[in-house]
Amino acid sequence: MGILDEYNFPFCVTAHSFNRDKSQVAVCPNSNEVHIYTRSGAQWVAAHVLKEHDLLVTSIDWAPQTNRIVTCSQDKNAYVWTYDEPSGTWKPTLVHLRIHRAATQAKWSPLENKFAVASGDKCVSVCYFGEDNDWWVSKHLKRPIASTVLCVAWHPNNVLLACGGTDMKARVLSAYVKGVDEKPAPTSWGERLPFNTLCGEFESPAGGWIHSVAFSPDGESVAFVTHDSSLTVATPATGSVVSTRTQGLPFVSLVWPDQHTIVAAGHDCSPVVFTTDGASWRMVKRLGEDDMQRRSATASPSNSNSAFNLFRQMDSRNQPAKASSSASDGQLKSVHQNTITQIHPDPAGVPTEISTSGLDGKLVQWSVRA
Amino acid sequence: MILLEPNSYVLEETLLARFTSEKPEIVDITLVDFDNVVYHVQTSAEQRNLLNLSVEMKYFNEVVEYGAQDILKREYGDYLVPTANPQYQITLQFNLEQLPADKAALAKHVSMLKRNMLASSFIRAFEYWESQQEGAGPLMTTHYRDNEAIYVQAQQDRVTVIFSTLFKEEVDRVLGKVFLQEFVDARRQVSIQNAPQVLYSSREPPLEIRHLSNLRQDESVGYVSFVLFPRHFADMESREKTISQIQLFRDYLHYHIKCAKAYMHSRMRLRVQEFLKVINRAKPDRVTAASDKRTATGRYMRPHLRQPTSPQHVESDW
Amino acid sequence: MSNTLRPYLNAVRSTLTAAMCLENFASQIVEKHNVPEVEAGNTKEVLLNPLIVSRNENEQVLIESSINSVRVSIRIKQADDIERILAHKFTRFLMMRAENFVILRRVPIKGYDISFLVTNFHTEQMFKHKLVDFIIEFMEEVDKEISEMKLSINARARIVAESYLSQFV
Repeated sequence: MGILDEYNFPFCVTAHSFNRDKSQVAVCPNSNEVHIYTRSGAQWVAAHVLKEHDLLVTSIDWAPQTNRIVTCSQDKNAYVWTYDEPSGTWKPTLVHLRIHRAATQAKWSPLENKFAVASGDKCVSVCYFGEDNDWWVSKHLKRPIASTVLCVAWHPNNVLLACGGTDMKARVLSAYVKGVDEKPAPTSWGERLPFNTLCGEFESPAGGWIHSVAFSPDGESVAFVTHDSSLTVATPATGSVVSTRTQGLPFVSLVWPDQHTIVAAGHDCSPVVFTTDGASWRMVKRLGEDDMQRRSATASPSNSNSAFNLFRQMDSRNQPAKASSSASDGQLKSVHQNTITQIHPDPAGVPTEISTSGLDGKLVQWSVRA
Repeated sequence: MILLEPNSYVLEETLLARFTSEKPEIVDITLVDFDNVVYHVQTSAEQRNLLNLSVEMKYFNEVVEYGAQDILKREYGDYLVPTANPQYQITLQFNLEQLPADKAALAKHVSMLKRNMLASSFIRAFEYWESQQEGAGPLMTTHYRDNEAIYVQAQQDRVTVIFSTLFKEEVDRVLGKVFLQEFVDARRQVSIQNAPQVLYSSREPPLEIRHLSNLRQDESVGYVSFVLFPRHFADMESREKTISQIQLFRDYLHYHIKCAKAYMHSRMRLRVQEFLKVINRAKPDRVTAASDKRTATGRYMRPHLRQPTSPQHVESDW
Repeated sequence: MSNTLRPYLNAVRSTLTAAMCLENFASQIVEKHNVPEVEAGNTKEVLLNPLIVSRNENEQVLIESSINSVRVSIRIKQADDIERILAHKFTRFLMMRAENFVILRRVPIKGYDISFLVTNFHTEQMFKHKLVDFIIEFMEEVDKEISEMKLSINARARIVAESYLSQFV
């Protein structure tokens, strides 16, 4: 368990997504651009800049199998980018989202033939490629969403979609598109699943905006994190809705890498691992704490510029803070020094590996093996 | 620089420079003093060796009633021009070729002109006390500034001096209150127990002048009474000293209120800088290998920190 | 530091840390706009309950938070005229330099002496825990500064009065 790789970008990383073999990563530097970096030894080297959006890019998702990237932005648009081998460039295709407010999150479905875009227009656009007009078209999931949708997640069966947002309810809806999807097998969520069927509606005990949702790998349960710093897991087959409250700050992102493990991260700056005994979920550890202790223990005093930096800092920023919430040198004890914006599962499906990106510019790959 | 000098230093210096210069030059200088007194130093139009000093003093008519003319004759009789230049109240003329040997003393003496004029009501009061008459003497008012006045009244055993002063801003009023309270309290100290008694009231005028009409009665006015005892004016030496000091009270008080404000301002400036340092600590130093590019001047290329984007009303194609 | 100040500041620190969990949130009322929701106030579901941390009736902090912004308003202790003047002068002095302080609001919320507006853009560009440190340090220093200034004015007044009156002796 620990850090596999850590890299510090000189900007806030508000969204990130790896390609299948993790040789490339697409990051959003908190702007209207998407930068694609290529691995070169321990470094990431800038390779492409995807520049089509007008406003902040809110989400990036890189489809591992089909090698397509979907990006969405507050400018109400989403683009599907495909790599053009001969010219060595990424080509955008505009998606017909038909929304009139900011797009907040985009996610490819497991089969990568559809993707969902959540938006501030109180709906989710389910997009698929319309062969007839050679164009990405969309259908809207509207009912009964009452406010901005902040997050979406796909069920492994490629049909069910979980979403949550500022109306403080997490919902599971059917995103079955006739002609694109095979008729799905009945699940514990429902038997007949035409488009926009509401299969479940959940909330956390204290309420709060839903920041992130995820289905369990077997698709039987849905988990979501809310602004009241809790993790809630709902399983329709047993009818159980279990909430785990935590002492820390709210989570903004979660992944469910294997059936018994959930990793959530957010404003507390360290990813937190939850495990289950079958009935309830328990917080077991914060990732990165051992590493940071080890790191501070072995911090080398041989850094030639350390005195220079120390005095320069004292000059331009006055002496270090006296009673601050952090460790003595003004650093937080976690690996990330600011809010974690996104946590991603491994693109190739390795259940023990995840990656996180934060406002401090760090992109970290972790192992969650117990 | 805690205390103020009773004479006008700039006037003294200007006059001395003319008195001692080898070659008389043509000068035309206007100087100001406390209480809106204006001095005009000018070489005579006809004769270069004549230097005129004209004084504009708004309250001259008032002090004349208390014997200012006599003082003027006694102190500056040799130089006094019978009719003052237009718009001025007093004109003195110096013949630069016939000055006394001690030019510095003359310059100093002339620079005390305003002090000597303002002294007239005080001298009157002290003389009244000397005459040992029954009852209180006349109440003498000198409007040394617009809306601000000195009231002097002799009693059998003491002389009361009342200042009315105006605090234009609320800050001045509050600071003035703090300062005046200290004047009242200071006398408790053993070392200055012999100082005149100080009384202070805001808004309410003291008994001695309560009968006067047209007194302002609002928050911005303060009344300060000094009770002078015979030990402050019995002998000539302490009398002169007392007059010099007491008439500067208002200027002294306001000067220090202004100084206190200036000090507060510089202190706040310093504190703001400290706060800025604290908030700058919150800004991350984003210099990493990837951004370690320098511009031609050797500065680091800083990543572009985006401000909240202003909304662009660009409609998309549909 | 008096024994009630510490718990008061600790309470403000914890509340601020929790309130400053902000994220980028585009307006769902007006398209392509991104405004501090706590200021706009037209989307009820993204506002949280306002909260007051109070040491006594003269010293309190109002914390109003929303999904992408938090407004912190401070009422500074003002025991008498002179403290009132000093607090007023000082806060005005600061607010005139609001652009340097980034998170300072130019006009305080009614009933308070000074207000800060922290948006997600600030927490993105700056370390959140140090922004909290700044506000706490500000609260500490403002009280200290005002009482020091008051002392210095009193001391000055005493010296001024004494040196004036001692001339008559």
